[in-house]
Amino acid sequence: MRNAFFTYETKRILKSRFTRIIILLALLFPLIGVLISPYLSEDISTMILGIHSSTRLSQTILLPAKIGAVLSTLAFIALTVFEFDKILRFRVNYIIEPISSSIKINLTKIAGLLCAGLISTVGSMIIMTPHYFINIGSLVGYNYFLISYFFIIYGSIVLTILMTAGFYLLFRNVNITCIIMFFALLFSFLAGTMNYQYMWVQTGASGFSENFGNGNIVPGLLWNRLFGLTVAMSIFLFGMLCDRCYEKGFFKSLIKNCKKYKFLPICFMFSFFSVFFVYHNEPIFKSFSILDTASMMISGKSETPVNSNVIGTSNMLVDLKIEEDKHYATGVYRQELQNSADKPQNIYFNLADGYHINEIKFDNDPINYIQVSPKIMNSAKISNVYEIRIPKNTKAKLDIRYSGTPKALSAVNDFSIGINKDYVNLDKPYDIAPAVYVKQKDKIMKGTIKIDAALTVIMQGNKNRKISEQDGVTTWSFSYDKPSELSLTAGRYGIFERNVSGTYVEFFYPLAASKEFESRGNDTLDIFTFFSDKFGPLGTGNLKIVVTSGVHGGVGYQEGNISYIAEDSLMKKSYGDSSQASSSDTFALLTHEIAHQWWGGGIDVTNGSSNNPIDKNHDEWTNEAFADFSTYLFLKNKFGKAYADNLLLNQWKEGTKDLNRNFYRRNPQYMKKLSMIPKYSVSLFLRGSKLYALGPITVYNVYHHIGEDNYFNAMKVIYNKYYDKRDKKLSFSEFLNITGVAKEVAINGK
Amino acid sequence: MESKILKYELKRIIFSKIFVITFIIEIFYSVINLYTEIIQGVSGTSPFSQWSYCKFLCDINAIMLLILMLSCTGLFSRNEQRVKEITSCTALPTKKYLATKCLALILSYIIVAICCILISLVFYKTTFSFSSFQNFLLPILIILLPTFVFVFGTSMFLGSKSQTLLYAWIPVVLVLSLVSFNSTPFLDIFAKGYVAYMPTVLPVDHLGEPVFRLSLDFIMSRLLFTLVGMVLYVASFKKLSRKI
Ligand SMILES: [Zn+2]
Repeated sequence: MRNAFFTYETKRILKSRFTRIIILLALLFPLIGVLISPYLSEDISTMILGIHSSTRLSQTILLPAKIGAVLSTLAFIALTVFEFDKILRFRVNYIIEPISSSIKINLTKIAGLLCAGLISTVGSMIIMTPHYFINIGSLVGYNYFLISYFFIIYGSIVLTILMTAGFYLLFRNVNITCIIMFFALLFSFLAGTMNYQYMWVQTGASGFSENFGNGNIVPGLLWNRLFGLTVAMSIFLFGMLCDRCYEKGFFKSLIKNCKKYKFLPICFMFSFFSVFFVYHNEPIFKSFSILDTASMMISGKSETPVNSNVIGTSNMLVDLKIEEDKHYATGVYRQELQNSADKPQNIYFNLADGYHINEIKFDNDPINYIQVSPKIMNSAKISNVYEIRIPKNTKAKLDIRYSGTPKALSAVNDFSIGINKDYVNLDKPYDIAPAVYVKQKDKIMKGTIKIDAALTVIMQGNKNRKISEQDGVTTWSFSYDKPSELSLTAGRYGIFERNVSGTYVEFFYPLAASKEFESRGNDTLDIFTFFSDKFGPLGTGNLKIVVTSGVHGGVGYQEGNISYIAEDSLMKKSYGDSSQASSSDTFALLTHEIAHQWWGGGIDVTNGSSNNPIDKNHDEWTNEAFADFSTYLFLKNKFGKAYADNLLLNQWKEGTKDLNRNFYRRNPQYMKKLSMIPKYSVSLFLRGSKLYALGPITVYNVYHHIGEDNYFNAMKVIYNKYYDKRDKKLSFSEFLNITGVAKEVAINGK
Repeated sequence: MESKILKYELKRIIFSKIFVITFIIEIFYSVINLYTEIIQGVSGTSPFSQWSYCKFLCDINAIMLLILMLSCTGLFSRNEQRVKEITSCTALPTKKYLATKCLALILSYIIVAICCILISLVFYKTTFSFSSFQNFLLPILIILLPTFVFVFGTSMFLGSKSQTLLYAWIPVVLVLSLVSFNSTPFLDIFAKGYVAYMPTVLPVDHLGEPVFRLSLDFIMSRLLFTLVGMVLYVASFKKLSRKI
């Protein structure tokens, strides 16, 4: 009897005309996504859909899946409301209630709707498979296609059905339910920057890498769905509790339902508390929201204090063993410390969240440590901070043993960070070893990394060499003199290396796609040679250019003697034709990051230490100005003036114009009226325009005024005077002195 | 007699669950919008410029019209049809009855709009001690009115054909309110794209603020929307009163 009713009702839902229309539409939604994708601006796909990567895989899988999920959500809101409204519309509730329980009816309806959702999802998978095959060329990575479609599209449908049903049962009104669901959808779009768990429709999946595995994308996707399910379940169960009994009000029905179905309130309480439990136990990131970022940026970042009474008297030795299939690392840190004060001294050290301390020894005796609360120290919000006590007048070895899974900050939402099966990305020094806050003068960090033999380890500093290899585990060496800039990347890399006038240039490309990346090796050499000629040789003896995972995509950065560039930015076409130039041109990004080796790596451009009044209020004067302008010079040399002008100069002009027209730029006194979030976004805009538009155009004005030859001569002078001199900074006024250009000319161009 | 019906209808709308909830959402949204978005100024203009105020009006208008359209669906619901069957027998002329109902809807829109505008004035007064509110009259007129007339007219027209058509029209308007058209005012019902785009191309005054000048085709487009809305409204009215 019960099953008969169940199957009958499911069949009825599936047979209704409206359901069929919705299923048919939902089948086609991903296809519609593909068709409209050329018209979507990059802003929409990053801001609303949360896709940061432009690898082929992400564009073929995620874009249609996410658009499909958004549209299916809308369609299933309509369908669910339609189905649930039937009882009221046909005024049959008083007939049904005595025959069958309302719970059974609701659950049956849900089951029928879930079936409809499943049919449309599977159908869309079938429709989109040829699209996948045509774009990728094979069925490699097809499992990601299936996972994405199932969890993104079907997941959003399931959550939509449960939430819509819950709200409908709660409010008994079609319009209110639709409005609330519409805001729930908006919330998913807007709150994603706070925490990826809030993206209940489109999920936080940012992209798929083609060569480096996918990091935590799939666990993130699953966690998204788990959190969404607990929330949707709570709403649905609460709705069921409030389901009006015939001729009874809200509270009477609630009480009656609680009495009638004892398990229902229990289920509700369980799912309600699991919402908080799931939210707080998010396994991938250390929770640090965009709000924290904003407040830290506005209040000024406070670092862990350095105790200068204690001196590091030996180099820092680190041995790290990475078990990438367990997402686990075990490390030992050793350094000799000297406390010459007459009192015991407390010192601090940072370690990434996710690591725990196994043992700390000082002078071969175990000592106690305490973890500092984030309330006391701002830096403890980002990573774990520990405090230990060094006895007076001693000089002995500190020995810290630690292990665990280092976590990235949630504000970044970068799922490629961490230790993963095919790819290791530890981008903060405290992800690798404890950062001990004592006086470290000219001390280097060195040691070994043990990792699976298939992976190549890349770290700042000298060439990383294989020391030994046994049982499929390789031991790599590293040493670097600026431990605060140390990071570690490991993956299946091929190396293209050349010795160019005394510098080892190493280009690390994904081994699996060596064909596509081969020509890029020569590009890097071109760029390197151009800058070496025009500025001066790179002193470090070793330059590494690393292609990184495209899971987050679109980025490049420089740290120490490594320039990083994401695989997706390198695989976009580089246009020789100026009419096709775009801001996302890959050659420009690669060149920019290599130029940072001189501007930022060797020479430090800042007004920070200058007392000259000319340098006041010129915070656009940074390394970015020269890195971007050097990119212009290289592109002009390689592709011609028209191309470079179009790609960069015009953008700087536009950006500077926007900056100077901005109200808060013209009236900085109003900045203090802003509350934190708008202040953060206004400062972000002003900073971005200053760094990447006003700064480069200032340098361009000087260049334009004195001519190319004089400019390069000035570069040689600057190189000789500032390169590799740590305490000498190139300020705006000094640059004007060297080039002999008046301030007005540099700023206004005339 | 009519004023009694009007009062009754107005009360019915204002005390309905849907109106209360959407009203709260609207107020909440206005506050958030003002304190996080408008305070930054649209396209680099000052937060108290006419352009920024236009942007604020565009943003709230989308939600206000959503409320309006949903209330419109009530006019064409089954219940209402049944009521009509009864009222058509009474002495009350159907035309007047319909007119009062529409008037009640319009009044409810105006009430929400006035509340939002009051909130914005309080915001400007307290945050920027700005009180040259007469500048905002033109934006209120040019942003709210044409869009309102157009959406109301089309909703009435589609609703008079069938309720489903009206329900289908709601998501279309929603999508139109979310997409921003830069310089094609004839597509841009809500003028969202226009008010964000124009300050970036217009010349600036002595303070560096982009001047508030509306282009001819924009004004034409507003007139067109108003006209179309009015024609459709009259058409639907004729149709509805004939129906019975
Ligand atoms: Zn840069």
